[in-house]
Amino acid sequence: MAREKKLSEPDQPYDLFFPDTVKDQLARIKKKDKTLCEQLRKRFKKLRKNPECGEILSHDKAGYREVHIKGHWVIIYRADYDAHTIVIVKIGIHDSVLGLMILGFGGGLDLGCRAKIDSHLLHFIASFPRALFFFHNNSVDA
Amino acid sequence: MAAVIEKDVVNRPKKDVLEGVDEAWEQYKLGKGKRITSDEELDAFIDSL
Repeated sequence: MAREKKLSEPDQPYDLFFPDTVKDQLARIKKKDKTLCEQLRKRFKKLRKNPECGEILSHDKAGYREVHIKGHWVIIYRADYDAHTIVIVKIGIHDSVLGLMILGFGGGLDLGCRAKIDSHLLHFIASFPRALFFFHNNSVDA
Repeated sequence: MAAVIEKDVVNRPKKDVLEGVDEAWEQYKLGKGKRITSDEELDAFIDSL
């Protein structure tokens, strides 16, 4: 009976809420990276229909979730189930990916600059196994 | 050594990316921001930024 009711009443997508700080952040991202902005747009639409798709954060950030976009970018959000609303609380670069690079350069870099550092780091990591394979093959042939 | 570095990266608190999260939530509680109720409204909002 309950199943029939659920099938006949499709879930209403959640509302989205962008606090003023996130609005400003989104405007800056749109100016610097149109592709990322389009990916964010698509992800926001998916979030409205599936608010629990994000990874749950823990400790002092319990209640928040994060979803990854474009590899290392992350949307942090929180669902207000009573108000049927998804609140986007932050759009940023995932620290655990940048890791030691941020420790080295500090956290005062703007979004565009940090994205460039991040892409260089990922390129380096991606090319590292190929370099090892090349050296290994050459040493065997010699 | 590599394992130590890897552990440091994984366990390091994500302070930077989480900065301002609580502040944004407070803004939501105070109604300071933009509410979107449909995909069309979302498109219009992003296009207007």
